Amino acid sequence: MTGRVHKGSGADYISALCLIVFGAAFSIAALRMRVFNNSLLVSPGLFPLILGGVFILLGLLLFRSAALRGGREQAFHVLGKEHLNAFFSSPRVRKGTVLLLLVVAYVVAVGYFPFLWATAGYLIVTFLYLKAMKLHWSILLALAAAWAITAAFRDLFRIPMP
Amino acid sequence: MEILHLLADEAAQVGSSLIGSLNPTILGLIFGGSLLGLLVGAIPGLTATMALALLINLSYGMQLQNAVAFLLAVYIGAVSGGLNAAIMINIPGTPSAAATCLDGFPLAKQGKGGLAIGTGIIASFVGTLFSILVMIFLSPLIYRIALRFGHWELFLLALFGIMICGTLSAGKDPLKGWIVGFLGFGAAMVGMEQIFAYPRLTFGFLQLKGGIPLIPALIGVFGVSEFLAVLQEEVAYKIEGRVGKVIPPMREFIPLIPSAIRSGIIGVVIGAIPGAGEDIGSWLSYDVGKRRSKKGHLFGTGSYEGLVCSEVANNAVIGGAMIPLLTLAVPGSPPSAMFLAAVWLHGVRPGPMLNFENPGFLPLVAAMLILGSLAMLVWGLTLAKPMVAVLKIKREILLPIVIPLTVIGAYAGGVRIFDVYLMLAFGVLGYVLRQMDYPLAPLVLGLILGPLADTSFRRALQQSRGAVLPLLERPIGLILIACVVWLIWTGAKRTKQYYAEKAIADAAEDAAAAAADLK
Repeated sequence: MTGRVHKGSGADYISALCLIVFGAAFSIAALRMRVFNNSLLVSPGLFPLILGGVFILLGLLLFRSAALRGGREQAFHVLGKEHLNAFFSSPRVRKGTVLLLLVVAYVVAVGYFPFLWATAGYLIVTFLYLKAMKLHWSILLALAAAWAITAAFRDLFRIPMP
Repeated sequence: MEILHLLADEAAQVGSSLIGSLNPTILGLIFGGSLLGLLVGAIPGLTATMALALLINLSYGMQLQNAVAFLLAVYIGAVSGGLNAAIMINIPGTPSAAATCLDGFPLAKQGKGGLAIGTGIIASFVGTLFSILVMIFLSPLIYRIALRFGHWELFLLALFGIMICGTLSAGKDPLKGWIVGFLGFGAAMVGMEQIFAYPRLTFGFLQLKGGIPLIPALIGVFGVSEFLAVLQEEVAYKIEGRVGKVIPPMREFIPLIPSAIRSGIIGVVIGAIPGAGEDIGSWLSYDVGKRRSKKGHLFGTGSYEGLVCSEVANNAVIGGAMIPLLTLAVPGSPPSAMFLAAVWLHGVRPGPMLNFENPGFLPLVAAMLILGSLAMLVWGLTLAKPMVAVLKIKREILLPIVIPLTVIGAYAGGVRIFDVYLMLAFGVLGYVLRQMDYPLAPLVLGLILGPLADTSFRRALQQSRGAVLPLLERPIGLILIACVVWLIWTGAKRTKQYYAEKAIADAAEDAAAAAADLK
């Protein structure tokens, strides 16, 4: 190992471990699903139990191949402070994270504010973050789009709105 | 003889469905849906599944016939719309048009962009029409076989569906495709199961008792995750050359007929394979065309034949994907999964019993596909130039507007804000899986087929009183088992080979880096 990060093996190693744990949890949950004292054959837990086993098996296969490709070392390297700092400061990751947070904020806002205003707010902030247009155009287009969507779906197509 | 009668009857039903659909409402919806589909398809990065995810909410309040007309027109429009960006800017509008770039863009550079778009649109029309004909004549025969399916066969069919989908959609690493497919099965276990109505994995959420609603999950996986993935990338592009003349002379098409037929067959076959999708059909057809054509050496340099191979096949997948969807309730492609979710919402349950429960549904789908492909042809040829102008609008302006539409789509089906949160959760899951090179189609297929697999498996065991041997004596089941075993065997070999190649490449990279350090 030279400490270089190869795409995939570290991520595969970590996801394999997650899959094994998930499979075990799934199987345990499945074992608690028996009803009416029926046999395991028709029990609601039978299929999830098998699925739990399949998750563990697939997880082990992925784990083995990732380990053979130096996945363990890669995983430690990927999760190291230096690499994590570099990862989160990369413009691509930062952009993805901010966009995701904006979507989360919008989805939460839709539950509390009128759809029209939540949408207009979300669009203004997103346009500005993406530097799509100048401020006044962003506000104008966001308001127009939010109004058009609300009017079209609620009034024209009579779709229930949040 | 009996089969011929059946086919003639089917064709007559499609004809009467077609005549019955010629009213202003349906024609308006078809032309409107086709235009919207073409527009979404033309925007680089947005797929046909995304187009359906965004526009499915409009169909909630429609009557079944209108909803089918609208959604199928969107589907055809979006699959075909991808070629505009592929030809003019060398970036496929949809993944299904990726192979179109190889010959379309060189043609645009030669100043034949318009002719390339025209040829592509006509090829798309031919591909769709060909696949509809195959669908009309093949579906009644598959219904007959499907009616012989018992619980055991249905379970094996579901298993086969996610295994083949995982194998094909994951490229060189089928293991990842299988993992995602089984995760879809796992997600489908949430909610009350169908035999005892026993709530499973609901974690105390009342809203989860009905299971994970399909439409919010699909919108999340394909809509939200796509939005994040597309906007994260900085892709600079410029429109190459002028569009120029669009409609190609008819004599250009005559030498392309054999390639078109071959590509149509490939597209239909790939479409009929669960979850395979338009992009696989297009690439496979292009590859076969390149090897079989006398002018194969010209592929990639601006060959109309290469363009036709890609465009006929990706559109032929549409009709092909409808065959397993209508006869077995197994969607052949991700957009058809979206369509399945929409018709479920309207109370139609595709599958072996469809012909008894909704006798006119298959002819209705065929008629709407024919009208939808006609609308696509009209719009595609007349709006080629304005469609290229759409490519000039910045993605940073268009894409944020997608999110409010996904929220409406997720909310309007069940009128619950919980479904919007669920859509977001699936969107994040889809985004993470995308980043780790996991395919998304098997997840959706697993979610759709999970309840069928679970219920059929337990009922089959119940019928055989727990004995597995009697189940293994059933011929259709044996064929399906053989297929699954073959998929596991070849998939495992491919995965092993892929990881071995990757390990060698990593070692070579390390050695090169070490040598550079020493210097």
